[in-house]
Amino acid sequence: MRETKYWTWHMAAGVVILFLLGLHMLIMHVGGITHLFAPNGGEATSRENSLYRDGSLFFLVTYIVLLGVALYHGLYGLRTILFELTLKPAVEKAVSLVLLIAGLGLFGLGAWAAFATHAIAIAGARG
Amino acid sequence: MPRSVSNSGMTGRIRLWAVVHIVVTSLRARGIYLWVEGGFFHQPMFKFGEFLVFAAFAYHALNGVRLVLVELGFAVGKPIEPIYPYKTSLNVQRPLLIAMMILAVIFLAAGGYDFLGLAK
Amino acid sequence: MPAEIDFHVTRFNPESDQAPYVKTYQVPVRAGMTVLDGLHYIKENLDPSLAWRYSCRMGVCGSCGMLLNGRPMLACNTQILHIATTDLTVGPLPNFDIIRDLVPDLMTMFEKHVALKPYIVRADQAEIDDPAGEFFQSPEELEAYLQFTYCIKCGCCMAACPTLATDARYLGPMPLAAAQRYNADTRDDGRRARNQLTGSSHGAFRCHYAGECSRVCPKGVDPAKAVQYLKRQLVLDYLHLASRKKPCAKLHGPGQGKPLTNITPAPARTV
Repeated sequence: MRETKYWTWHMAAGVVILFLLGLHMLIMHVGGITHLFAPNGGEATSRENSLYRDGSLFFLVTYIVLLGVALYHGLYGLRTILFELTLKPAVEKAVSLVLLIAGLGLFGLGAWAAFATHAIAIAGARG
Repeated sequence: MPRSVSNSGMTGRIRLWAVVHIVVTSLRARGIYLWVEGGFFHQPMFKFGEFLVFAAFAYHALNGVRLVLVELGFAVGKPIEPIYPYKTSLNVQRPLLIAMMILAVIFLAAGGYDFLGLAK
Repeated sequence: MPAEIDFHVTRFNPESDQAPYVKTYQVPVRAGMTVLDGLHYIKENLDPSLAWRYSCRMGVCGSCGMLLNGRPMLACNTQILHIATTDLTVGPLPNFDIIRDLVPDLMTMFEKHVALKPYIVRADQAEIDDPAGEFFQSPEELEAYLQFTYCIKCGCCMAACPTLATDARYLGPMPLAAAQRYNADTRDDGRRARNQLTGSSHGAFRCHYAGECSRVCPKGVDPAKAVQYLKRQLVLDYLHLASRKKPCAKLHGPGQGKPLTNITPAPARTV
């Protein structure tokens, strides 16, 4: 059942990413058309708009959730591709462990960055 | 017309970008210098790279939606008695594949429009 | 006037050759000739050392699966002029070791098949071993798995599968479709036992729906569809959303089961 569990969560993570990353894309990369979450007009990546989103609790939460699901989805996908190289069972275990540690590490780094940026924006300090 | 398309191939390379992205964006916490006008993130090569990432996401996400439907047994059709010429699940999911590819082209056009700075 | 077609046949004798090589034969071809007929012509007239498997010559035994012009097919139900005009490449099925010439070693496929318990599994084993009645199964229940019973174990789907090409431990479309054939059979109660293997790291989830297996299947079994249904059932079992239907009961005499209402009753017994 373990593989079924991982796969089910991979699919669920994909659906969550569809919405959260879709939102991110609509803001950042199709922002010229949609002008979403860019209350200060102009480019979505302008300083004023970036600071607006950095200070928003909604964005802090969605970024951290997106970070978590995207890391899980991507690293499980990488694990799947590596497993298809017909590895020995011991090597498979090692690969899973390495990817788990890498994932947790990157999640920690990204979550720290999200919190730190949020704190900076809230404090009104210059970016 | 491809029978079915893979999400693990080219657009799966998005993984590598994702790891780099997490590390680089974390630098944001250390300062905004990369983001200022004229900085690295505003170079045309970088902007084109961003468009490629957007393109990869659009294709990967739409194909992923199709695969979620297919792999959970929703878009493959019911078991039928095989009568020659055989119709398989590939025939059943083909309209979905075409619809997803058309949507991907539309999103790519929207993204390209935005990236070329045509949108205001 | 028969046309002459060049058959580029892969030859390999492990006792004398280092590696497989291709030998070309000119075969006179008439409309209606199958690749199997062409191979017989080569053996009878050109090269008696050519080896391949065949039996029924009518597409029901699954022995003559081979790679014809790059696609796994049965030699006996493929007409030469349908797939070639001047050249035809004939090779052994890929993703298998070669025993000799066009003969693949299908044991890996059969071992995976056996491991998935391709038979009715029930708690009342005594009834299975010494059947005393008949299973009550409706035509609708039969339709849920009938398509997957048409498999002739030819190995064409295994040869076409891209996952199997890189991952030798992947179970493959034929065993997985066979597992689904029994899982969907209302007479069977062995789904949870089979889940141990089908839900493993080289089981159903290594399928990414390339669909090549269904494309090449000579009997229309559609193994790709079977594998997706298998995944769906595995997810439902994991989420504890699977229906709790018991396997269908056995009937031990007339009067049991659900009689259809529009059938006149049988006449009284005269013996």
